Amino acid sequence: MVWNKSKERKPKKEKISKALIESVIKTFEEMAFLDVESIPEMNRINFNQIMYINILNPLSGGIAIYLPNNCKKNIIENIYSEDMSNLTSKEIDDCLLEILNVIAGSFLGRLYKTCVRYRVDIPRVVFDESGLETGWDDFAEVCFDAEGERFKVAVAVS
Amino acid sequence: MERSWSLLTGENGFYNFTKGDKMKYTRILIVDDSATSRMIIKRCFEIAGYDDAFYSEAEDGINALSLLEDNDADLIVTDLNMPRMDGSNFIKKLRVKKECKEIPIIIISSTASPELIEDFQEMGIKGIIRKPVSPDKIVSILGGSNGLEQEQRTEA
Repeated sequence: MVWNKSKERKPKKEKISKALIESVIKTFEEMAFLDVESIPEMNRINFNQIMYINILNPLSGGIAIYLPNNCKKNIIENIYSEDMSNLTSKEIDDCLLEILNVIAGSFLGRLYKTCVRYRVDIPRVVFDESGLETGWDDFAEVCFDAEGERFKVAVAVS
Repeated sequence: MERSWSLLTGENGFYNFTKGDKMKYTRILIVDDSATSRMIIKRCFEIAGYDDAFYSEAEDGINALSLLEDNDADLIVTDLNMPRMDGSNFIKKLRVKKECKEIPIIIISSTASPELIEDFQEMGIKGIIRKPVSPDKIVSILGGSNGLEQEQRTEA
C-alpha cells in the first residue's frame, strides 16, 4: 500500500486504509463470490478499465478501481452466471459500477459507524487516469489478489 | 398507518421498521438505476421464497411512478441514489397518491444507515437494507413467504 501525503501521517489514514481493504474484500465476497486479499504493492497492474465514484459526505473524496480484463471477466461471470461474451458493454459496465457503489457505501459504513449520513455520487467509467478527480490532500492505493487475478483500488480524501 | 416498529441494530446491514407480518407478496416492484442490482435483488427475493411473485422493474422514481399508473404492486423495493428522481423523492410522491399510501416499501441502498430512519419512519417503510442485499436480509425484514417469525430486538 502506498500513501502519497502532503501532511505528516496521522492515525486516521490507517483507519481509512483498513476500511477500504475490508470493504473491498467483503463486497467481492458477497457480490462476486470471489476470495480477495490485499497484497503488497506491485510495480504495475495492466488494467483495462477504471471505475470511479465521488464521495460527497461525510468526507470529500473518491474511490477508483483499476481492473484488468481477466479480473473483470471473473467478476462479471460470477455475478451473472453467464459468459461475459453474452453480455452487452452496458451490462458489463453497469455490473462493475454497482460493485464500486457497494464498496463505497461499505467503506463509509466502516469508517463512520454511527450518526452520519452518507452520500456518494453516481459511479462512472473513466477511460484513463486523466478522467479522475485531482487535488486531494491524501490518497492511497491498495493492490488485491482475486483468486489469481490482481487489481488495484485507490482512495482519495481531502 | 400503524407505527409499531422495532429497530434491529443494523450490524448485519438491515434495519427493520415494522413487526414481521406473514403476508405473501405477489406483485413486487423493484426500483434501481442499476440493472445488475435489480437482477440481484430479484434473485435474492426468489431465493428468500418469493419465487412465484410477479416482478416489475423501474430504473428510477419517474419510471416507477409511471409503471404504477397501470400496474399495481403490493411491495416496493427501492434504491435511494438514482438519477432523474431519487428514492426519497419517489417515496414522497408515492405517498401522496391515495392508492399508494399503504404499499409497504423496503429501501435497499449502498449508503443505508440508521440516520435514514429519521427520514423515513413516517412514510410506512418496512425496513432498510444496506447493499449487498441477500436472501437472509430479506427474510429478516419480511419474515419469509412462509411466514417465519423474525427475531427482533425492541429499541431500548
